[in-house]
Amino acid sequence: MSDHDLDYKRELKSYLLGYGLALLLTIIPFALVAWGALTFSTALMIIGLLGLLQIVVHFRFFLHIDLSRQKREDLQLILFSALLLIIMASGTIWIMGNLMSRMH
Amino acid sequence: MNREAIKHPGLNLGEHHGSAHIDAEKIVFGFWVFLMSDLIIFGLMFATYVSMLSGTAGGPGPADVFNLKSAFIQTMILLTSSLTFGFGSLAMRHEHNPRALLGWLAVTLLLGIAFLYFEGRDFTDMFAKGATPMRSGFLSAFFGLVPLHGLHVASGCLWIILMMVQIGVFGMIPMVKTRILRLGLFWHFLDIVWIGIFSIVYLAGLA
Amino acid sequence: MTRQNGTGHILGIVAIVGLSLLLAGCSSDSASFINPSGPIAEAQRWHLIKVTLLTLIAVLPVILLVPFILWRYRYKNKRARYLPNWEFSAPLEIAMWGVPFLLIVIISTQLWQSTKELDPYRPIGGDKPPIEVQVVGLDWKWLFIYPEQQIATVGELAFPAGRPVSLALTTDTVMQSFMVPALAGQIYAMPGMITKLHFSAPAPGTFFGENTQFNGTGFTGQKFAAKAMSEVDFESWVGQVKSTGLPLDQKAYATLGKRGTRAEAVAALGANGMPSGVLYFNSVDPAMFRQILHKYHSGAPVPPAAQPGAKDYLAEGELMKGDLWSAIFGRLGPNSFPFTAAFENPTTSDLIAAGAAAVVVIGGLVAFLLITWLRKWDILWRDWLTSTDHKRIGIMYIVLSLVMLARGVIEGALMRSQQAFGLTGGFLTPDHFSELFSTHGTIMIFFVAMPFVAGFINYIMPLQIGARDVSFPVMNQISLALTTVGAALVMISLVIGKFSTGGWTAYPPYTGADFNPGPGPDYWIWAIVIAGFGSTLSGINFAVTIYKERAPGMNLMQMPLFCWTVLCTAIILIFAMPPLTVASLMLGLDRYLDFHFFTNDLGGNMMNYANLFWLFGHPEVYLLVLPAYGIYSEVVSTYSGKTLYGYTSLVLATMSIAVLSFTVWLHHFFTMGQAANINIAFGIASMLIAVPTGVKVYDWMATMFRGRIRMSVPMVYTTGFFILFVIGGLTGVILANPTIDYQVHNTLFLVAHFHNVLIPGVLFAMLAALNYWFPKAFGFRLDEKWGYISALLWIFGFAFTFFPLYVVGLQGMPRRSFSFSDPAFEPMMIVALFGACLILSALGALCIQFWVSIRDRDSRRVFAGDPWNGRSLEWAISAPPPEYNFAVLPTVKGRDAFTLAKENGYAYQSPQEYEDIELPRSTPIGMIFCVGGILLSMALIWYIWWLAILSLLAMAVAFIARSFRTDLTETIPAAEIEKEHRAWLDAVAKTPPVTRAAEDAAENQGRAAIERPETEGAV
Repeated sequence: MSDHDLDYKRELKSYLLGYGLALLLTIIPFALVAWGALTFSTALMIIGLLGLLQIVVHFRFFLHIDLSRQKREDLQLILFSALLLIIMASGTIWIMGNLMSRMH
Repeated sequence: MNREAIKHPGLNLGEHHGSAHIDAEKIVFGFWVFLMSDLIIFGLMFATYVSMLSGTAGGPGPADVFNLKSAFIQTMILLTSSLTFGFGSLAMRHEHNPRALLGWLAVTLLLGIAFLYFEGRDFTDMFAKGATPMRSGFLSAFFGLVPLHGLHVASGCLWIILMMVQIGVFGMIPMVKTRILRLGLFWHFLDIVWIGIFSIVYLAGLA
Repeated sequence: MTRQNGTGHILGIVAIVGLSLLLAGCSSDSASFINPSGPIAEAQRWHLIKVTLLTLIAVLPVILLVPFILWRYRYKNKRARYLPNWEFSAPLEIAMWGVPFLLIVIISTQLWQSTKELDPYRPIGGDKPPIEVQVVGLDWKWLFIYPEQQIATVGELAFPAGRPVSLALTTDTVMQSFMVPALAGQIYAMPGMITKLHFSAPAPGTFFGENTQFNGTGFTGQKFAAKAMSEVDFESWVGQVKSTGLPLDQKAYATLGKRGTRAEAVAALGANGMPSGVLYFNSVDPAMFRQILHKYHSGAPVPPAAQPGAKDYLAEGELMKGDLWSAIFGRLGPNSFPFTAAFENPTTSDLIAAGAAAVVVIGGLVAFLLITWLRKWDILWRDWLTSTDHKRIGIMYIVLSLVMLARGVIEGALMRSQQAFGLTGGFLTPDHFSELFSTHGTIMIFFVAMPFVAGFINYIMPLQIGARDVSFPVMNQISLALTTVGAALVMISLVIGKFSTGGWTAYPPYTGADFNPGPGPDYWIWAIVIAGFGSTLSGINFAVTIYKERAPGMNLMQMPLFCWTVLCTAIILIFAMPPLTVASLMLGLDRYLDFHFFTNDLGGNMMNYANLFWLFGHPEVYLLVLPAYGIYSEVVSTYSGKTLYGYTSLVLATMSIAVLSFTVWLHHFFTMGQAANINIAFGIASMLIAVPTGVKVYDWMATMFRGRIRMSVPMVYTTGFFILFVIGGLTGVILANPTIDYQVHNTLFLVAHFHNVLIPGVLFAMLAALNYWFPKAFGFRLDEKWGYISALLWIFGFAFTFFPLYVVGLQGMPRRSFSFSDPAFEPMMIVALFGACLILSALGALCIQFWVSIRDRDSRRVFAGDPWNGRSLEWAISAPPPEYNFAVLPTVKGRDAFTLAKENGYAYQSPQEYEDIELPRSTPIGMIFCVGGILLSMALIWYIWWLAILSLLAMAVAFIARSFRTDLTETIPAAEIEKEHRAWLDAVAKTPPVTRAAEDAAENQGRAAIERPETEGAV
């Protein structure tokens, strides 16, 4: 088997693994909600956690972002964006939530 | 081929193309930056949606209008389309014949259209129940967020069509390849945004 | 003018600054918190004094030391020690970071305490029960409901002295801000929401109260008297209200709610037994306040007719359905042109509007005819409009911003004139005045400051990193095109229709469809959205260029500081433009498609607009000022003949400012009613930014220290910046304290503060950069004499215009007031008008400077390219540079790359061999987007749907068609480059090097002699 074929096999596997993981991480929360057995806050926590995990899976297996050196710039960019997004989104929810609770 | 040379999915320019390879990296990095800017837009739409959850103004709320089954179908379609696009990328990287790539692009396009069909059906159902964006702040926020993603998917579909034409016109020249590369990033990125939508909007709304 | 005069004017500035601060500190006749009458306002004043004194510890050294350093280390003083390579001192670094940080920590504890204590929501303790009053904001009067007494009043808020007053506020129209300066400061009142305010007055007295949030033409009349009375007087007052009052039924309330002044309401309802200008009501339903509040929560839409103060749709020109005219021209009509109004009913205001429209039309015509007459259309199209050269794009950005600057300054001067005569009503209509402050703000931020900055970044940054162009030259052209669309829309709004009257922030619901159905807010939306897309693309372009296009050998820490600031600005553009896009598009959805993001009814929430807008708005300030810091760094280092002190510190400070700028946005709405904890968090974050900013100023001072300073025109601007900007910093720290913000928010104090930051901070930097880099771009130096005159006029003009505004702001004069009634404000307004005249003259002097310089250009040529003994790579090439910038890409060996080359003798070398250079071809795609964008926006603003679809399609087709082109570059052959480069090297060899003493003289043809310290180590 040539190097080329090995590469191909490895990358194919990586895509399929990513798909499998994503599938799992999708089906679990949907199933939980469909059954409706959990309390709202527990369900929310599980949904959030699995959602975050799935985002990592997508970045790793579909967008090929990892800890290797050539991806360093992209990874830094994504992490920095995530930081700002967290500041903006959580700030917004914090402020608006507080305002709404004091206005009625 | 050196394993360490793998830069981005499907980037098959490598050492053979010298400056074209460097150009591609520049363009792809620029596109990443654009996606991150777009990510902020989506993030703020999410934040607005969450902070407007209470603004139903007596109108329908999440549990009244969301359809878990349809959301699940859309999720499956979009996830699968990410895989098929991945297969397309692999075909571009490893096969010199563009036919496989064209095939996978076509499958992805069909999945994209199917996704839009199911999403559109959701919206018409909601409209029929009186859940229009004019009804309440909550529904405005919903219709600001979810169709924005749909609009992105629709432009992604147009982009796929354009690239299929350009493969036909130009063949697999570097210009076309870097465009498909960016299209791939775009398509996978939309799937990531969708994870946010099905988790925060549909699942949390129906939990 | 000689160089020594620089110090003279500095002393002048110091005098003015001191005088103004003194004035502000003195109490005045006006009852404001400077002259407080209650415990809350008293505490607020104390906090102001404490914060001011503490901050002065960091600010005063700058004001005192800068003139000293400039004098001691002037170029001519050869006895002073000169250490051109001194760049680091550990103890100094520790002091520079440590002292401001400590100060901020100390102020933070004060902030924390006072914000908790003076939280307007916190009931005032005491043994006496509070008196409750419910306040309803109407257009344009306040209704005070006393639920316990079942009475209500308009124009008079009476309460017993010594008893706490507990207010619950809302409005039944747009957002307003309730303020009683002498007692408590202010808080927002918003439809469908309750906010709270507590205060007390220990002794009887009458205090003025007002609305500080602009809400339409009757805005400045929305005042009332807050009367503290003895318990006995209060009881008898209640009795009087009960006996003389009218019943407050639906009909009476509807009359009150109508858009109109208090006097009109009194005329319609007034009765005997009430004091003049005041209305009394009895038998008031105690649930009335709740009903007003819950009207917006009912779940049913509240049509404009049921929202008092909303405008009647049809009157403002809704489309007549099925009309052929409206199918073709949308809502355009004969009344859309200001000429019509001026012709039918000529008032001063209408004549000014028509005059402005005429200037736009005639200006456009003259430009068109001139270009045709000179036969320059060809050159204009080929060399400029279709060019993808970053240098030409940069110049076009700057030309655009200069044109818009002229309009912005004239508008500013008009507003100053109106306010100078504001006591007697002035000469403008309120609507015209509000249109002026809306366009002035929008223009100055988006179409002066941003293109100015983008222009210099475009021109300079690629040269400084030794690149041939930006990473995406065509996208760069499109960015310029989209910015131009926005600017064009603001200009067109002078001729067709009217611009928004909602300020540059365009807060809904005032700008919503219910209150402003006309085209004004739509002009604002599309100008902002489209220019915003352009800016985002610019940000991406700049960031990628810095990451990927640096010359061989140049690592990030060897970039000139300007490039670092550009990188941070790019980051801010990428991440801070999205919130603006989101906010303005949501407003658009509300207006066009009847969404309910920010409406009063159906679950809309206008507070989220404020939140989103400032998520953009605060980083925006830093995206403007960071490149300005970069420019000052270059200027200070060059004209001090020294390497930049504290490069690493400056980089760190720049980065931390960029990140911190995303964490402070709430300080723009401290008074909206959120919990004290949130205000504290954002207040402290806001003050933290002062630390890296302070470090920067100290670093620049250390750069000048032991330098050999030439007081050139850019240095005069820089000196003005140092002295004035730290005062802006001082007031910034003051404003970051929620406690004080409750008093000065929405007053002219705020206006003075942000002009104090933006004019010396950004505009002076741009003008310094103009003088500094002009010879690089055009090949000849600008005239120094008129440069000095203009610079001094700008500096003094700024001081005279804006320092008085601090004073009246502290006295409680609301921003955006087209008139005022307190005579105490008038002298200050007249001083400010004088300042505005100086600024106008400064603009004139700038024009003369250009004219004189162009006339004498042949004696001012600097073809060799290095007129200032520059330090970075842009000076290593000819002036003007060839279109490919560098014949051979330079190899960088350290910071100050060109100085290194000059000092080590490898500057101006001819390479072994030349190579072909590939450059992007010219393309009309930018122009297609520009014209298409203007048509699309005009179609959307005027509801011409066919044109909207057509122009959108045209742009899409052009974009797709371009993606099919493969011949995107052209090649310049090596032989041509070699010929050009050798010709320049020959010219350099023939140019006599000059010392810095001859910098202004005709001998300076762009080649610098190397001057080393005569006696290293002398005192």
